[in-house]
Amino acid sequence: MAHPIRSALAIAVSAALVAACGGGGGGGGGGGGKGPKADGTVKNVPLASGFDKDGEFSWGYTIEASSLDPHRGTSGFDQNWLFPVYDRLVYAAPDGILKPMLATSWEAAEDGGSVTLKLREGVTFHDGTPMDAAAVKTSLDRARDDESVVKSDLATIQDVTVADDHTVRLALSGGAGAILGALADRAGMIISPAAIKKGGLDTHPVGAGPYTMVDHKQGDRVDYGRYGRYWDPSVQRVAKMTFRVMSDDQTRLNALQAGELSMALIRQNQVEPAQRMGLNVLAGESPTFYAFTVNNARKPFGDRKVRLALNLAIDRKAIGEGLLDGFCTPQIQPWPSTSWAYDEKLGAGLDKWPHDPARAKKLLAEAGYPKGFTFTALTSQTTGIAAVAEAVQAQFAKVGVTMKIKLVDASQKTRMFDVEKSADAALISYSPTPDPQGVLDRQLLPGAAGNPGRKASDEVVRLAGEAGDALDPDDRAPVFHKIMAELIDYVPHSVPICMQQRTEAFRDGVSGLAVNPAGSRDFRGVAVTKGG
Amino acid sequence: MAGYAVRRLLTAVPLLALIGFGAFMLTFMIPGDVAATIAGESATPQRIEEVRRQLGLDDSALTQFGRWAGGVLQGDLGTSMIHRIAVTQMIGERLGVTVSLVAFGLLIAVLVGVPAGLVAGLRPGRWTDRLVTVLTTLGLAVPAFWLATILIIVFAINLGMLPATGFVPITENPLRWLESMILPGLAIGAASAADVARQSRSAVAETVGRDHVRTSRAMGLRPRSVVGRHVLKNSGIPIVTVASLQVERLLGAAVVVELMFAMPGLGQLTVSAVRARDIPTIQGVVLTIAVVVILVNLLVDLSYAWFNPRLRKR
Repeated sequence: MAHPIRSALAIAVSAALVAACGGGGGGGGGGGGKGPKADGTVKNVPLASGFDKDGEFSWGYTIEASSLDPHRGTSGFDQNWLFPVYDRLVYAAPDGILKPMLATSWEAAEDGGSVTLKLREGVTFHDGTPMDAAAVKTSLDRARDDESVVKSDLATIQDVTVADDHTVRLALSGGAGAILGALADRAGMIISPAAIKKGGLDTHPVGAGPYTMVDHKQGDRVDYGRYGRYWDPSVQRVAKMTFRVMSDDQTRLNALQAGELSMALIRQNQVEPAQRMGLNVLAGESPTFYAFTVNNARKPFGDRKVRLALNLAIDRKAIGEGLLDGFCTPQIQPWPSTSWAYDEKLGAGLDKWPHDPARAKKLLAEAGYPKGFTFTALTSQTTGIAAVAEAVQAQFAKVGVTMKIKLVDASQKTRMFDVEKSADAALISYSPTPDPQGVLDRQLLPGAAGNPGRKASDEVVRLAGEAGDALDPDDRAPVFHKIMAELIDYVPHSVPICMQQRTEAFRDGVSGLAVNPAGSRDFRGVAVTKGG
Repeated sequence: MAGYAVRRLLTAVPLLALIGFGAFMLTFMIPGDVAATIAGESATPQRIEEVRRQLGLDDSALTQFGRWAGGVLQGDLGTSMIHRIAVTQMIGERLGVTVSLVAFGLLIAVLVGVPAGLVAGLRPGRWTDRLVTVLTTLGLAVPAFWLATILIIVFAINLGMLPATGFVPITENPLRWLESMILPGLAIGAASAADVARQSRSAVAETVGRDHVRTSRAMGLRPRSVVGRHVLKNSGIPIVTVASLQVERLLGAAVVVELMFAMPGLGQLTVSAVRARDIPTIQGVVLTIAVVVILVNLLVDLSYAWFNPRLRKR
């Protein structure tokens, strides 16, 4: 075998081809040079005038919906595929404020024991069934049944009653405020009762949203068409939408460049290449964050000093701004700065838990670990989390703590950390619920799935109850700020490292875009210009 | 010959059972839990256990295999645990993509590989032979994903001649089907074409050197008849063998190429099913691919009899 010749030839040819291709891809971009990489990205794109009413918007995403049934799908990213078809009771606007959708108004009882929702009149589902109180009850009851994956989002609803044709009353065991947030997401998607009866919702969704599902090719795409009888035609700015599954990162970029997509999710490290190709980039904080979490029932994590020491050993800035190119905001609050729950006065909170290896070492010595200790953390091989884990590992090593990394997949992490409680720690990417309360329910409270040690600050438990009862974010925010202060003092088992940014590239001509505060992609009101 | 085919098909049954069993047990060995996935992100441990029970995942591996095999014998491959769609339906929808891709790759392999091998093998040592050797080395050395990237950049993005992603079923629009197949087909078929060219070259070169070919030439038979009747037919068995081996190679490469061109084929289905530990889907795909490979091998064996009459007696 003439190996040297073979490889020399291969290199020569590949070099020639790459050089030949490199020239064509450029153009546009501007900005030039290195410097802060977040430059040139936009947070929203206001609606452009003169958009094409008959236009088509296409979007590329990494994974398909596990199911098109809002109550049965197993993935936390399913709602992206469902928003066009299913209107919710409540709409979470891009500024985080809850607005009317299928419910036109809502009111909580004085004692917080119930919420009454007035429903929009004259709305019909895509199959012609009228949307009324009975339909809403059927849908909510289904969302709360044993097979439902969104059951826990509605856990505080005790009963749903039909007051009149267009009024429903939800009897609650508390948490009126949090329930409205949940009704703006999957749990609040209202399904045609006739379609529920008929079955087949996994592949044939029937809602009251602005677009109907026209075609669904599993593993490939969902095509949507404008619904002629929608109650708010002003948001139906394109005639057709197509969402496509493209799991490979480069493939989505290729498709954008070739004009086969209007918009697509891109990775943080693709922002610069995308801009060089002349694509625009939408970037904004999402409520998804990287977190370091321990089982505080296992030694030595029950000791506050140890938890604080580990916190001080983590260099959040180095990870968020260095490793992740500024596309992950280092902070200790588990809510994005766009959320009403975020305490502006506290800010990122890096002065509360600063990067201070010297003090961390001292705390470890005080706790009885002058030479550190060894433990194992689970993390998944997907997304950027493995890289974050390695950075944290190196930072812990500097204070004498050895963290072994065990790569597992998400379901295995759930089994070992949450269920069997056989793992010391984990590095996770926390995917949010529609309401900030979700962080408490799913991570921090003693009964949370993500809290295998079952320990939490009593004060946080008390405040969490209080925070859930209020309806108005203005009333809830101060309670959340108190919770944050208490968390800083207590040092919980699960702490944020940085808040991930969502980055998407789009072609010229796409407008009416904003980053959704709940982290999901709702393309309500998106528009394209001719040839865009 | 018909009897031979039937006998071969019968021996395939225990083979399929073994493959099915092996795949099932392998899936069990990968850590991870589909129940945790299905129960959703905020599920309690109790809920996860409940899902396990509902899906029968708390039974022993053997019991579960028995249940699955029982279904298969009745023509039921089960339902995807994640998508809640019948596995036969999912495979049916995706088989067309992968079959198109493999067939296109094979077509390229044969249409390019056999003539190239023939040209090189008929005159060993000439510049045409050397050129083919260099090109085949290159073809074998270049990985499919790299070639796919180059093809996309040049033909889809820069020249805008062909689509960079997607698949159009042939029943929907034959022309657009062809367009959607060219780049992935080339990417997947290049290495196979090189392999076929190499094997054809050595088979042809060997046949050309045989006494009866020399005699035919010496007797003044027309070159076309020598090549067609004697050289090609006698080189047939090794060429068909190497071409059939390409089917397996192409099926493997399809996983990567489908991903890169965002084509909803079996490869993509396999990857997502394995990630989710969706056992019925994994089993269904493994069985389908095994059947395809067994059928291809059978066809190849039957073709041997056509190339070599001496084999027909057996």
